[in-house]
Amino acid sequence: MASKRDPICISVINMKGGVGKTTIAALLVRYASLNLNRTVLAIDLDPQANLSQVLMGEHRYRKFINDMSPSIVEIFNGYNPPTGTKGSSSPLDIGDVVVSRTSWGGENLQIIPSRFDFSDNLISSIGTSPRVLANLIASNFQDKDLIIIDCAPTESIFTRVAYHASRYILVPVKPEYFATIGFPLLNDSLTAFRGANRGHLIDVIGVVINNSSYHYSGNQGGPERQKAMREINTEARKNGWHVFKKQIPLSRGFPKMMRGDFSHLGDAPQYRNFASEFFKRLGLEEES
Amino acid sequence: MPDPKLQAELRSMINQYGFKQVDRSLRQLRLSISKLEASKRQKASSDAGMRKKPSKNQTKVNAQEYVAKMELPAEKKSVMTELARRFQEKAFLPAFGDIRNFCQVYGIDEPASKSRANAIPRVFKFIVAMETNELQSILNNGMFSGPSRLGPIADAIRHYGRSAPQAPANARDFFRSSSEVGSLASEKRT
Repeated sequence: MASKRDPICISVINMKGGVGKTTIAALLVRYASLNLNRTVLAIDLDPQANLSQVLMGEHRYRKFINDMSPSIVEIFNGYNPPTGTKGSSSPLDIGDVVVSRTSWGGENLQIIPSRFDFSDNLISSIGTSPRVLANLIASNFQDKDLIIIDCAPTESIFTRVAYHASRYILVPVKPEYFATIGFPLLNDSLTAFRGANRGHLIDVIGVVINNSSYHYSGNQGGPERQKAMREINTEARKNGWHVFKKQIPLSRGFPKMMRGDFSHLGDAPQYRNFASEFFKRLGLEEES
Repeated sequence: MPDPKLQAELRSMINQYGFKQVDRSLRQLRLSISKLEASKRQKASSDAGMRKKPSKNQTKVNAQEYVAKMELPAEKKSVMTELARRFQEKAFLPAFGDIRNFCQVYGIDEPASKSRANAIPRVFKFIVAMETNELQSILNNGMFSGPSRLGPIADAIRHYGRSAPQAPANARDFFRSSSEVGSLASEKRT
């Protein structure tokens, strides 16, 4: 594990969509910031910008869009474009991109938000370096304890950008048919990355089971869930990936939390069991 | 003006432990002090409650009345009054769930009673100890103003999508007067 004094950068990735990447990224930054009192940077690398919307909340995200504030798009472009008040492109101040003080993670949490035109910008810009985020972290965020990147599903330039910036990958998965379809794709993609970047150590920290319906039935979630769990364990073992013991339960509290509604959260606060196991494995939480 | 002795001591600590560890320790210390102060205040108010029970006729003080009684510098008073007004209008901490989140974010104990009205002293005693710029940030950024709605975000995105590609009026005038107007028009048609 990395030294506690260095920031640890983790990307939440699964080539399959709808597995809860954004929810898990949001929960982990909240736990690290509020429960572990760690300094955290959350980077939204998904053009859908859902992580930004969760962490910033409606009012602030709306203001961010209306004010045309700089985002991850400008980081990739490397400058601020001309605006209503600026007649030419201008130098980018990273401090203007980073959003601080939120209702989600307090003063320990900062965010680099995303915008929905992110993919258009990347696709149309010539020669975007996949190392842009790694460079940014190296030069500006060495004071952080934890950096979490929420990635877009499917393999793309975003995935390569995330790999270059990350030491670890966290793979969320749902215990259902098609669950492991993304595993071989991710493994191939990581193998290819390692081959091309031999000095870069990157590992899967583990697989987390999300939306586990275990709590809602008396027979371990029924035969279908058990089959899916066997497949997940088998496929993870083939790739040498750890599967976290603690699972994230199925709870209506999670969508409420993502909306910023903290009333009647049901089983959702149990996410802390997984978060604790995750950060202990990472060396950011002390073993009790 | 920073105290030179304090600066020297901090510098020596930073040299010994590194900036990050000192920073983290200070933040942890601040958190535990806030918690200690909050529990002291809670104890003091419960002791006072034991000494003198409020009469049945005594009405609860609302947030605006509570803040009005505070003696504060003008700038802080104005921000506090605005927060109290928004609290009354349920635009700041509109539900008890928001108060719970507020307490978690700032590391203070959640009120035992799940009533917004009962939480006023705890919340506003904590808020008044915050820096004015932090309070201003809460106001400006609409923090702790309740659950998000997707509609206004979608509207903002739609509005941005419509307005972003348009050139400013003077630029359009330039194109109109130039020979490019024909090609621009044909582009628009396609």
